[in-house]
Amino acid sequence: MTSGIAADEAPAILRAKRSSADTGLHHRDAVRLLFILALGSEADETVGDAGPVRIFRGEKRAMAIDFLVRYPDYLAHELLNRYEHERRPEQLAEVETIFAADEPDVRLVKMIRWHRGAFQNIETPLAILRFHGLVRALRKSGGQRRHDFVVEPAAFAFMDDAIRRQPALAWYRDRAALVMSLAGFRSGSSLKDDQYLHEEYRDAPLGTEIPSIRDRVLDRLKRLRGTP
Amino acid sequence: MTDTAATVGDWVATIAGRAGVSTDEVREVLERHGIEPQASLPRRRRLCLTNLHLKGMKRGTDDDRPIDFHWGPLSSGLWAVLSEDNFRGKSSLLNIAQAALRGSFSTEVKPDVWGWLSLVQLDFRVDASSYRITLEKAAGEKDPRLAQATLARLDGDEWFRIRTGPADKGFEDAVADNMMEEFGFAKFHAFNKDQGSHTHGWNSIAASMFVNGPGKAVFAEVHHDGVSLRLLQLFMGLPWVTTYTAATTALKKVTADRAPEKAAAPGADRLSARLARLEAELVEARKTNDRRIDRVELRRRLVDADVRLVTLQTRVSDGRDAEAALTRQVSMASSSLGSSRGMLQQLLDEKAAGLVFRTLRPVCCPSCDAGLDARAFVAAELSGSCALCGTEHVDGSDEDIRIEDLKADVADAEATLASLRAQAEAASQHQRSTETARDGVRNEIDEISEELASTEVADAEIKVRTLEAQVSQLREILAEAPVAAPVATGIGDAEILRRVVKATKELYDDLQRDLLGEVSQELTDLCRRFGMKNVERMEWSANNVLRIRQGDADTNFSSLAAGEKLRVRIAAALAVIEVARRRHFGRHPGLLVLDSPAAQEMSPEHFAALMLSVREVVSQADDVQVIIGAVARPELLDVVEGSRTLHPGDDRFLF
Repeated sequence: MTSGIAADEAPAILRAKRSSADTGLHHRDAVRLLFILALGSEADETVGDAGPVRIFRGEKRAMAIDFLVRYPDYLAHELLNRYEHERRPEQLAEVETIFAADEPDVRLVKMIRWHRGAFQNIETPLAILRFHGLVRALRKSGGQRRHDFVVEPAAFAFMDDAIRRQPALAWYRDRAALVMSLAGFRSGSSLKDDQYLHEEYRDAPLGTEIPSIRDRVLDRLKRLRGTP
Repeated sequence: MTDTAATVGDWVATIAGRAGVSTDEVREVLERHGIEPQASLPRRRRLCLTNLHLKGMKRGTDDDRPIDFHWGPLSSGLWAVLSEDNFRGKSSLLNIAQAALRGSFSTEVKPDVWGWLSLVQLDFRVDASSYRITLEKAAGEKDPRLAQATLARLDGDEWFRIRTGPADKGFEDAVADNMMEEFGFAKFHAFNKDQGSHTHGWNSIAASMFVNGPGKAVFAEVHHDGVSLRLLQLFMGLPWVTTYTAATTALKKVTADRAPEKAAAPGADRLSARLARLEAELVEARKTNDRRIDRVELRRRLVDADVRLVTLQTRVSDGRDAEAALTRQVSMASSSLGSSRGMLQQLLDEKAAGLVFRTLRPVCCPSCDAGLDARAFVAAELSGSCALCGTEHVDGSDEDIRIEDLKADVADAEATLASLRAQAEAASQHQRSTETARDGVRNEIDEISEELASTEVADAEIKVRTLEAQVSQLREILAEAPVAAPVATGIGDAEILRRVVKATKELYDDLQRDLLGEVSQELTDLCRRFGMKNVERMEWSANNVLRIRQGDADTNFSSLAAGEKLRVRIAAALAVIEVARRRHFGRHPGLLVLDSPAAQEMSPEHFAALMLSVREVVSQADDVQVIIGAVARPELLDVVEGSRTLHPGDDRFLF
């Protein structure tokens, strides 16, 4: 690929490959979802077959957290917001690491802009997790609209084992933990409100992929770092 | 010493004897002050206008049309330019004749009339020599300097061009030199406190022949410098007069210089100091000016730089396009690489995730939550199919192939991006160097333009010229200052000059008295004939005072009424001409041009009567030409015969 024409053609081919591939990477999606649900869960008095369970509250919240895992540039933006408030050098270092690893390109898994923001049907990864007895959807009770998820004790053992077997998967644990350090137990609506502040996110036409804000955040990082 | 035929040698010897110095010393003083002996009696010469031809285009009047005016051939005697009313071009016509005769067109002709003309051609004779003064210009052109003037003399059948060129001061000088030479006039000198030493020449003489009113003096429009007396003496043809005027001028100047000698000594010191400072400044200014730029070379460099700028600017523009194209390619290649790497990462993650999930035993149906039989699962796995749906497990090699392909893609994309980045970097460097070169040329152009536009250079030139003028003036003043004047030897220039003046005056004094007596008598007669009946006696003294005894009272020219002044002026010219005619020497050119006086100066009837007398006088002198311009009154029509009258009638314009 040495000519401009070839360079022009390549991305289109890759984009085509990618969009078809995105829909088929269910195990990856299942792993990511697992780490999000597990690290975002809270203790519950419910005791399952294998002992006390943890509950992840809110499908919308899961979507909002997933968005930040899948879009490292938006995450970097949130981290820079936190840095501007707290001014801890390691916060800036975290953002630098994201860009140094080209995460906004390499780790980007695009989401579709839908009526209530970034959306991904999680039924398939959720089915995988349910099939293996790691996570199950909590049945709704008495007019409750919110979808919660029960994270089984087996899930935590599985996560440790998975990372031991496939160390590359540790990224999902670490990333989910980083996002949770920002999101905490804020509601899905509250998290999405922040995401709507980005015009690229807000103004993306329904049914289209939410665009990257990589360059804008990189510029902001450079400004905060005081480098050209 | 009344011998008018005294030689130059006798004259010098007389002066030397009286001053007690050698004749050589006298000659030195004479030479130093430009005093030339002029001892001979001048021959009479006559000026006669013969033809006047005008061409052009009248514009801005009620009667716009081409001008093709011709008047001639004229001869001696009385001629008249008549019109039914005033403002019909009489004065303009006479002024054009005067302007041509003086070779000076800038002041005599009204600007509108001047604008109309494209050709002025005046023919005249000085005795038998025919002259022609021609002025050609574009009709409408107002600037006389843009007109082409020619002074020519008829030689056999051909006009010999004495001078051709712009109608400027140079042409005026050429005409004056020619006429002064032709009439044997010497420029006469004058000195006054305001203007210092200066000379009068053909301009004064020619102007004196055109009489258009009472005037301030008998023979001149101006009454200073003794011009009127000098003109009278010139016209009477006295020998030694120009020598005398040169000597008196020199004496006045020397005396004026000596007077402030004592008082001016500190002033001279100051002037010397000032001169030294100015000279130092001039040296510096010249140095600055010497560094001045060669504008022609600068313009050549400017053109050269412009050409280079265009070439470089084109390269910069092309380079910018190439750079932008490469930047786009880099961006796309970078995006491709990012996509490939992202895809690879996700596939690797998918593979890793798949592997870890396959280590797990299924727990329940994800759809109905029904528990699964572990044994059935094991059996299914062993058979290589899904325990849930029965689908045969996909061989993992497909996924590996995709991963390997993507790795190759990433490697390709990285190589491409690296190559494009190198190209872009090279293009960028090349572009920067081209831009630098272009900016260099731009700066060069700016500098050249600034230099060209710089008033500093012009200022330097002006400064040098100004300083040169000041230095020259100061040197002149200091050179004329008594301190620096080389008159320390003997009795001094002033004493010798005083004797020159006295000896010269003696040479013509008696003749002058004699001539003035005769002119005075003739003048008295003519004035009486011109209607000044109660004039008993007019006496023109050697110091230019015209004493008039009128009705038992003494008066002088300036006290006369306007009409009387005009009569005296005409009478004086004719008297001088008549006396010269009788004595066979004299220099009055014999031309008199009279423009009708204003009504308040003389009534038309009186003017007609005056002209009648003039005609009688002129008819007795065979070689005098008098041209009058007047409104065509019936009484005047009888004075000048029709063939000698230019009279368009019907209230039309003369040209």
